[in-house]
Amino acid sequence: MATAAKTLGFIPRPTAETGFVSWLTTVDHKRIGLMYGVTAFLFFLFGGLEAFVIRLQLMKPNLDVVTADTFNALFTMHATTMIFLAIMPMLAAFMNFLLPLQIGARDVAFPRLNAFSYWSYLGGGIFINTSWVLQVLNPAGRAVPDSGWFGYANLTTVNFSGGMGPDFWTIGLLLLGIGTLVSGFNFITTILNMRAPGMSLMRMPIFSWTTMVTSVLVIFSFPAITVALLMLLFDRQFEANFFNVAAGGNVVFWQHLFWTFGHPEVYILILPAMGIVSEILPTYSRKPLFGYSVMVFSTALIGFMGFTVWSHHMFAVGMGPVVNTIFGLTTMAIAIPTGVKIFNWLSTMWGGRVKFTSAMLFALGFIMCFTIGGLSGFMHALPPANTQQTDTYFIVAHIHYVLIGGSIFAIFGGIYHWFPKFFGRMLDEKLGKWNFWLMFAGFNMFAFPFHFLGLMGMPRRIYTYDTGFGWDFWNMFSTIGVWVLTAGILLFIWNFVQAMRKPAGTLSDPWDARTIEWTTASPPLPYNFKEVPVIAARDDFWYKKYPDAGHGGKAAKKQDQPHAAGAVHGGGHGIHMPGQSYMPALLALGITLLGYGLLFSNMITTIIGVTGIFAGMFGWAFEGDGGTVIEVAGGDD
Amino acid sequence: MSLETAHGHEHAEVTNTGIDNRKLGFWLFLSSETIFFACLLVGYLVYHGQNGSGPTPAELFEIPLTSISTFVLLMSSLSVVLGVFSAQQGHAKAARGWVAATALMGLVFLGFQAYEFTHFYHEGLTLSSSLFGTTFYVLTGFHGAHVAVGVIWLLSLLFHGRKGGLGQDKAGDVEIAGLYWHFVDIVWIVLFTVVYLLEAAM
Amino acid sequence: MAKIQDRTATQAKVVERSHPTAKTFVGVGLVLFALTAAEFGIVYLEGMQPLVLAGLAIFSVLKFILVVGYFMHLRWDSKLLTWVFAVGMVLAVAIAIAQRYVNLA
Repeated sequence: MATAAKTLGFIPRPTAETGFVSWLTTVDHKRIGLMYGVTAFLFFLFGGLEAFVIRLQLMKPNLDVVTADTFNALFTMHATTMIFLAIMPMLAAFMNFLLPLQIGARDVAFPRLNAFSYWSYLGGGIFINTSWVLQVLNPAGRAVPDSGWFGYANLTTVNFSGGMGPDFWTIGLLLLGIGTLVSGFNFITTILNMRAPGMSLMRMPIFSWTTMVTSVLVIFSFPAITVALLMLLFDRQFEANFFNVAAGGNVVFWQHLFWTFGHPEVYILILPAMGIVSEILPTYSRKPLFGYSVMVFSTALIGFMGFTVWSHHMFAVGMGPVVNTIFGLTTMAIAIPTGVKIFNWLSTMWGGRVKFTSAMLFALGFIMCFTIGGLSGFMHALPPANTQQTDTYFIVAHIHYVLIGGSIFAIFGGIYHWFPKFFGRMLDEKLGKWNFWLMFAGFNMFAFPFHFLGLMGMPRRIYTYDTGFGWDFWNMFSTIGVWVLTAGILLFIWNFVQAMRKPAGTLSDPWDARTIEWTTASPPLPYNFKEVPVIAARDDFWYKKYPDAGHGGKAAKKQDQPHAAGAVHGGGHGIHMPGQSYMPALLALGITLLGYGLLFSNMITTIIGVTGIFAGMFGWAFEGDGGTVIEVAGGDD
Repeated sequence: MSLETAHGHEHAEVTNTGIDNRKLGFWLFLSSETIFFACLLVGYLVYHGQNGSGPTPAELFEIPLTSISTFVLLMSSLSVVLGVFSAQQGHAKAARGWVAATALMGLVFLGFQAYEFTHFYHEGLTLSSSLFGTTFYVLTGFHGAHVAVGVIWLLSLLFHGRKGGLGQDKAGDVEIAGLYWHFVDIVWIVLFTVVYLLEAAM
Repeated sequence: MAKIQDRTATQAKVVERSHPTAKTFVGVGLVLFALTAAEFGIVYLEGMQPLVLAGLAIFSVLKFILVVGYFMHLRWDSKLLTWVFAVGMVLAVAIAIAQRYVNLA
């Protein structure tokens, strides 16, 4: 009884340290982070491929590279993939890997739940993309979601989408939502509860702060889309009436529910990216982040305001002057904390000794492109202007400037910055700079013309257009831009492969960085820190390296000497490592199978799925955390 | 390197806030769930009065009956809190008894709901008969599903304490289940008032 | 002395401030019963609709607070948990009211 080594009475608790089983059963936040990153990058390439085909189709007037139906499927899946399967999980990869390292913890609060988040994300991603397989097997079946990424009712109701597309989309997003919500609870608990001694909230690295605010947005916004998706699911599967106009249903209700989630969601996509940039800039400017507390406050404020603006996505619906005015004003107000951030980033560099590494270039690219995206966003906030811009390429320009120029540039910058920590190897800086300039030029060539096209009246989501509107040149130009962007991304892959072929062995702190994740080995040991660090200042590592870094004032005053009480997180005798487990993957598999069962109305799959869920949950509950205690030889302090 | 096994709940970690990780995580979950039920409830309210050609709420609701089931659920909340209390005090057998009583009352509540649903169905209210039918069944159905999950959870606790009851070593487990059960109860407090009582009072 | 350790210490004190007893819980249970009975009673009052509505609102809010505060221990637990739940509740109510308003048309 004391050695509960077997789960469900017969499955031995896995202990593999290498090989497939070790990855399947890992609960190590760093490994989970890497799995998130690699999986999300593959989905990113797939979503990019979809975009590539879209741009080929639109390169010239009246092309028929793909049919109109396929085009609908492509733009729907491009957006769904990029938002839910690529950018969010790539940011989750950073959160997973870095959060415990940045706050001085040995793991997240719930390691097995963390693994479960990843596996259910993988299940959901495969689930949605199964639709492409069905589409290929039966081209007439319209299996791929094709109603746009916000799935407006009544396009998604049975009358207008008889195929399986919306079902794949609805159930798939529900599956993805579970893992995301669980991550949200996990990260907030970790931040509130697991910080190293002396790591007060206002000493946390700024990326950890953005993780916190993002997680809060997740746990309060995802329930709204869960409800919306469930309503749609009931409408489609069980003939409910939520969005059935004949029975009095209101299709605008879907829009309200969706955007109640949807607007916080876009901040979920950008806030962690802002956090990454806010880590990169001080490192390569060799100055502290300008206005740290204001940055924290504006992050929290942007997060809160994200819940007050959703109807600006619906100005053209006809909600009336009162509602339009309120939401226009709240939207414009968001420019204030956002502007504060931009000025703080600029001030961080001001007077610093700036080193233009690849990571820094991406961060600078972020600031420029995100500002352009922010300005066009501000233009949408005016309801009269918005009615001109709605459903044109102007909107497409905006979202690509904040999501590629914003999130993706920050993610690439983050990869260049933390790559030594992730893999113990360095990416080539020369290739990295080529990588940046190709992506930067390609991106602006591809997305900036969308502003012109939009103002010239080109509607979004059209699969082709006639010549004579003046759209021909810019569409061609944009497609060429995509080729340049693609070359940049391919160069990154080449750089990655080259780096991975070299043996690991990078210094723990190659950039002379500021925060405590750089005190660990590269890559970090399974338990992160031999001794739980004791934090005396913001940018603690920097001030330990340069005790008289002399910036005087606040940073120095902030220093105090907490007692090195090792009581937190089981210091003293040995380090408790949580045990590996099959259960997270089993539970996620069960939930995914349940999704398939529901989708195909297949009783056997449903029963297997439910059995998997029960087995996973009970195995999970009764096996306990398990784990081992590692004795680390000798303290090095 | 020495090998030991350690059960999660046997070694309490020191946390920054002094709150157990599981408890904090679970409260975050409950906080998130409030938005879930708020959105479902909004669906009901937005479509209120859309009865189509089907029966209206006033024709269907039987307030005395629902009051009894509400009462049962409230008392189950009392019984689970006594279960948590007993477990914390080390009265393992008593705790098991209270948890069993709670599960039983949960089942009674579900029985009432099953009766109500069948009754309404025979009166002509279905998921597709009208927007009232749609929103009513989905809203109260999701609450019922939460109760059902709670019952399964409590039954697993009984299984957990099949030898020696639910003592102090398992008090944390009982407490989390208790929190969930109370949450389901407060959701019903709101639904009972908004869906049933306001209808009768109007 | 690190702030964080001080805070942990004070919070530990908060947790142990007082001990609810079984009597407390049974008492709260009785009040809940009485409130439900009162709700059931006033619903059928004729001709006093505003009063009845106000009464229902007050009674259910009271019930809600009693369960959350006593049965769910928020009264005795760390204030942080109250904040965690309150933020969700306030947001839920705000979203509900806003959604109800924008969907009236």
